[in-house]
Amino acid sequence: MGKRLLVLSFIAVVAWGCTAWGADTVLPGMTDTSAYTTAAPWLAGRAGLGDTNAWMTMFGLHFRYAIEVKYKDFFSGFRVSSCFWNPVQQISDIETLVAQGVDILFVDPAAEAPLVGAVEEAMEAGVPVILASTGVNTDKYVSWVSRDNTKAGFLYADWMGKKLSNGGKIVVLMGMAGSSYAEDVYRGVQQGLAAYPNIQIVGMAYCDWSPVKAKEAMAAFLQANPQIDGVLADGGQMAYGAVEALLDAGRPIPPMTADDWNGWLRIAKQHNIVFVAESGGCPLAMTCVDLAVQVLQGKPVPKIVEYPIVSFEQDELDKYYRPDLSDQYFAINELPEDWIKQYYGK
Amino acid sequence: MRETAIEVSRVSKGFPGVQALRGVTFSVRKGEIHAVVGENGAGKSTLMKILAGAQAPDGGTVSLFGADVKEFAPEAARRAGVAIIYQEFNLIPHLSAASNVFLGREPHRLGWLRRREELRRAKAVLEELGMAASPRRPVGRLSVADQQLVEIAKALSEDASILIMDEPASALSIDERERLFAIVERLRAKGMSILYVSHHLDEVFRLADRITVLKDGELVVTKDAAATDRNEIITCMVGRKLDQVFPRRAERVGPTILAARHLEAAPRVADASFELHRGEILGLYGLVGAGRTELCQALFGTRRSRGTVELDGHSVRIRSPHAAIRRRIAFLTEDRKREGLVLGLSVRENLTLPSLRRRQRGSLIRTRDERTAVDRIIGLLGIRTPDAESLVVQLSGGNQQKVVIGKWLLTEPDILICDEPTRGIDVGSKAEIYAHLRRLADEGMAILMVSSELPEILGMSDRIVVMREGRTVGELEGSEATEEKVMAVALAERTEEACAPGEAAAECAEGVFRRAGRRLVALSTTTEFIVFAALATLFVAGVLTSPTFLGAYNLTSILRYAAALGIVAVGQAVAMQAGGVDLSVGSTITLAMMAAATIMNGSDAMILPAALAAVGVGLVIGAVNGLAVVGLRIAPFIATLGVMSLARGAVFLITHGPVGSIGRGFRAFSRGAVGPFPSAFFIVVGAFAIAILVMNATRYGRHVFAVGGSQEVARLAGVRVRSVVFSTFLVSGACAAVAALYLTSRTGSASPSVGPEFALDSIIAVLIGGIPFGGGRGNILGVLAGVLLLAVLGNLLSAWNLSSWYYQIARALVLLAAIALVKKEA
Amino acid sequence: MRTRLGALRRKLEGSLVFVFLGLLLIIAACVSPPFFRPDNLLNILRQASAIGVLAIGQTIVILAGGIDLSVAAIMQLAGVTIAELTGGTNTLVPLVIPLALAMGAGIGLVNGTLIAVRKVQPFIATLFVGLLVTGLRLWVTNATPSGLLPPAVRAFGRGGIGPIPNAVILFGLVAVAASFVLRRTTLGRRIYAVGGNPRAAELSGVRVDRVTILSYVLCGVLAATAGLVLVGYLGYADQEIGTGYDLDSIAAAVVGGAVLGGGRGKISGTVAGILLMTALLNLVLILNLKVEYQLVVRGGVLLAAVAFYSSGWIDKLRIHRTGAASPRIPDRCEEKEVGVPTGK
Repeated sequence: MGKRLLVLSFIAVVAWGCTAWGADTVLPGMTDTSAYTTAAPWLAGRAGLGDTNAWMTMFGLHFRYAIEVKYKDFFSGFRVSSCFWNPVQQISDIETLVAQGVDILFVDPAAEAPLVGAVEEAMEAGVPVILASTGVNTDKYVSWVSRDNTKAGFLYADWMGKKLSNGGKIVVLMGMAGSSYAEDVYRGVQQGLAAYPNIQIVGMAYCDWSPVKAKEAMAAFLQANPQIDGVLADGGQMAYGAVEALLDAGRPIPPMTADDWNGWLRIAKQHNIVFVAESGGCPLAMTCVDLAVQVLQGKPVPKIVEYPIVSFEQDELDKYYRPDLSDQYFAINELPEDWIKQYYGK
Repeated sequence: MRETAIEVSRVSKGFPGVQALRGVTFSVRKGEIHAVVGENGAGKSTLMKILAGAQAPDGGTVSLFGADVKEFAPEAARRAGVAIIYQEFNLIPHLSAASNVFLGREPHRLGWLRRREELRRAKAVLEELGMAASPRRPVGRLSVADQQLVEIAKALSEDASILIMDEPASALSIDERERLFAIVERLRAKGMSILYVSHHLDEVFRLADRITVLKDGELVVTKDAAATDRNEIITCMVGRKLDQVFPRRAERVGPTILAARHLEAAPRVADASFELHRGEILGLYGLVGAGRTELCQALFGTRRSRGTVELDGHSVRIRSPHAAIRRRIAFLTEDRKREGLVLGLSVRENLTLPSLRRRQRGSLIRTRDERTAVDRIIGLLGIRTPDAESLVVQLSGGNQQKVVIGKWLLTEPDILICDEPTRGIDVGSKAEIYAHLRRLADEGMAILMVSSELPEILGMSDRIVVMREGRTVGELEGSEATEEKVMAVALAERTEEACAPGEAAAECAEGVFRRAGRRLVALSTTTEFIVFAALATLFVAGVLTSPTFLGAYNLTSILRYAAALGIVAVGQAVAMQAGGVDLSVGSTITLAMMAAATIMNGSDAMILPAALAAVGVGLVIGAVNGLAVVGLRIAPFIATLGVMSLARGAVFLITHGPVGSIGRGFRAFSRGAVGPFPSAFFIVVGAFAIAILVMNATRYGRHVFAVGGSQEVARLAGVRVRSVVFSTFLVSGACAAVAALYLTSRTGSASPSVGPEFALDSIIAVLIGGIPFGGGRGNILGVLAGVLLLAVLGNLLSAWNLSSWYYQIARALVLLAAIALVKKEA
Repeated sequence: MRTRLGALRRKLEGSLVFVFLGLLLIIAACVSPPFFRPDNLLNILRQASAIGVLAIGQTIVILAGGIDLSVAAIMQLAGVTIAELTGGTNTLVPLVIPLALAMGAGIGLVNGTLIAVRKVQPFIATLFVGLLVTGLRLWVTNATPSGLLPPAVRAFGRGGIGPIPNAVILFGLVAVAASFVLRRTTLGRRIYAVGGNPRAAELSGVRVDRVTILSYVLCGVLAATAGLVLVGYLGYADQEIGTGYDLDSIAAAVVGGAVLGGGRGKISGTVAGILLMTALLNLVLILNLKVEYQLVVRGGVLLAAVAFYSSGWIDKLRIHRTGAASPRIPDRCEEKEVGVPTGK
């Protein structure tokens, strides 16, 4: 809740600043959205990836909540398409949504490069585009909300370095190979580890945030390495899989990094794992909608919005863990309790 | 002195277990109709095959128009002017009559079919032959008689000077026969030499100038037709030294076990009635087309029939082999390789297959009992095999037949029906089998034996029933029968229609040929229509439910998706049309995109090299597929599956993320427009126009279609089947590469996530479009409808704001529609 | 003499894949000792268990002359069902597991009926059913199943008898049972007959339709079992499990000696095929090769094995099919339809 307030105030301050200085002066780093002013109610569109895993589902829920409840008087409809990580399909989806006359378009891109043309065309057609999470290799968009992934990676590495004061061998589990998201996190990890030369990466795998793949990769690493001192996973689901592999092999569970996924918290509690969790960032969807409302009212918005990272360690576990909810819940979110109970209640 | 067209001199040919021809010498004069008669097994077919180059003789010479034949191959024979019309037609069902006539020799200019000329020439020939139906009609929808005319036209168009016709009139009605005779006489008048093989003496006497009689592989006599008569010919056909010793006949027979009354089994059995007694061997004789096998099938339950069948006095309805076996009837079929044995299984497994019930406890097979029974039968029948575990395919013909007999014996039948029990078996084994049959009969079994060998019938049967044209026309006591008598009954003058009452001539005449399943299917041309209708429906639904559906932007979006899928689907269609499939197109797309995007690297100047590289990638992968299928003989599904995996591995070894980039100009390729039409429109239209042109108007396309229809027929017609199959993979690879170029333009770079989904979608589009697995059917136009259908469907699902899962379900349902469509055809 | 060689050939053919496996083990020993560590070998066995059970089911269908592209969907459905319906507790387990197996059987029944009664080509029919099952599963669970498995299932996946994991034991049992059924029961004999020559089988009184349907039902049950094994091994059920397993199961069966088109193949061959592929994939990781080589290995092994098998001696055993020398599916009215170009 706190971060959103922070962000909103930031936007509010800036917006006020703009109006204070005159409507046609837009600060650097802000996008001038006066051209997009339209009368409410608005038709929103989202060219999404599909609710293919827990994170995406909660992400989608934030969108829906924001549009259907929080801003319900502003929006007349919300059209969502899912491309299942198929960039060509997503291009078609963007075109279809534009053709349907959406007033604002949210895109969580499947890949940075292929979507460039579609996003630019949408903007050229007069539809403001807000990018969520992954970006696109162009600057023709209105705003891009994302977690600073490099910083996230850096934080993981730094924590691990401090934890393994005597150095050690660690395994790194990243998300989807080839995505800038995973590349950024990994870059951050490497930057962070530069300060800890006595930590060695003995295994690195791209596990697509799947506990299945993480378990398989971890099992292989355990075979090849008798001693593993730490597991650096960019996600609770992968960490979960790694723990399964460790348990299977009868090896002790070393310090690990993960996120705020409820399943991770459950297993971390059960096995008293030493860990640091960073928020996955699902709620940035809500920020996107906040921005959309600004955009469609003609108020300037920041070009790039960094969604803050919240991190916590095992001593704060009970603050975030919800045993009454299913594994698929992410602890750091902005959904109201009734929605949470409805979608994640056991 | 007339010239000699064919000179056959001391030709011999043997097969394992039987000597088909022994030193046959005769000649055929130019411009005569020369009939070759003889009973089944006399060697007629073998002789004809040798003349047509399908077989080579073991000894002796053949010369055509004075020139010795050096090479026995169908091509060589054709070049020498010999054309043969087999009993079983070599036609491609879904190709038109005109196309079939010129298959392999299509009139063309540099590969472009001259279809009007083809049609004109075909029409000329076919009309002259009296075919009323249009030469455009697919041959599968013609009557059997017309199909035969197409075959004749084929021969004529090859400028054959020698025409061999093998039992041409068996399948025809009276009118059609007359038409055929007129044609044959006209051909003679034109100077063609005709070899007419038949056992219908009335035809023979009607048409032939000279008659040659074969018996047991030897030439008996060649006579001028005018100088002889039926009886003399019959005498020549039969009457032989009985060097075969048959066991003595039954002394007495038991009560009636099976009685058939007025059995009717369309289309070959019109009215059959007979009785079978315990302890008796009843011989069933008749010539080709008499309906003996069909009668047996009716009794065994594999052919639907009307009429009465009584077992032990009770009327029964036997509808399946399973039921027949339960009632202790066994049926030893004529074709042991196709119907009697599972060649991949062992002797033991084959022997016990129909009688597993007797050797099971619960569901388990009692192995010891099985082994005992198997050993007993092997000993009893003298089956020569190293052990019961040997694969049955490795046994000799005689022993294989014994296995079949043994398998039925193990079912402990009361009634044993055997169809040609000693076909293709050496003399020694024959004697053994005769002895076994007699012993079984003595032990009380009732045996119905169908045979085309007169000596066998006469030697074995206690009674003989003769069939002719679907009717049981005569019965003789074994002791009183002679070859002449039997033959006389079997060969009586044809007066009636060879059809069951109420059967239309066309349907009745179909299905004469006994070889399992080779039917020319009836077609429906409505597939494309249905698909386009479905597309139109979806379109209307879109217009009605979504206000922006018809907007330019939306339509453009649909077209853009269709463009990529369409190009891939074209390639896939070509591969599937030839009977294959290409699962690797997805990976090909990814690799080709990577090649193109990397070479272009943001610069428009490198477009051409990039395009060439992409196409090169497509061709290389296509070649690998082609080699695997044609060279290594791997099934296309498996081959392209393996290649897909390899290619995907290559993709990931190169990169996991996007590579390459393109320049502005190349971007315009997919984003540009000419007037109101987006570039995608031209791409779709262009791709399919080219595809339709190639598949319908070029020799190549015709050959692809033919190969899918029937590889055998295509090969015999001179089509280079292996090259054609290989090339279809090149085409699908190249198309995938072109699609890759389009996608590169659309996405601006190459990435591993683009590509894989196209494999399945292209297959689905082709299936909906009416080209089934196996090919040889359907049209590229239908594939266009399929592609548009998928594109519109995707668009509508978005527009209707349905949650993502519906797309999966919708695709499944579309596939279901494809299933229904394809079924409609079959 | 000829026939003696023939019997020897038959034994060899079925065993070729074991030869490959043996060669692989030898090469692995030379190239990478860590491969042979007992826990690595156990790992391989464990990883092979789920896909192995799946491949056994696929083998049964292939032996009967068909193919099943819906096995991965059934497997995923079973895994997800177990997680969803038990809600992560043990109470409903005795009900849910049989239910999952029954669902597998039911889907197999649908497949078999479409193919045997409605005469749809197996490729198309099973593809359609697979897509439908996937779509329905995603729709019902809204893409995120609870994921939590009941402790009983987790314990099953985690535990074992002595050093051998339960999953491996289950795999072994399934293999033994399937092999037994195929070799010693009437159904098994009939499956081979239907696959080898459906026409001859029909004429020998085998009820071909029933046998076909049963083969798909068995495959469905085994696919559901594989789902159970997989979630037990993974300790988790999510939507991603088992993607791509259908083609892998076909590849394993084919590498193991089964022939698309039917009538030839053995369960032991399939088991060896699975072990071969899993071991190779494991070797890639142990040798620290890039994981992408796994894909190369998959494709390469498949092509190599089939090329080897197709190289000649198999020819005699195929019944000559009209147009059979072509990559063409023989028509069901003639011989049989797999719906998949079988080549030859």
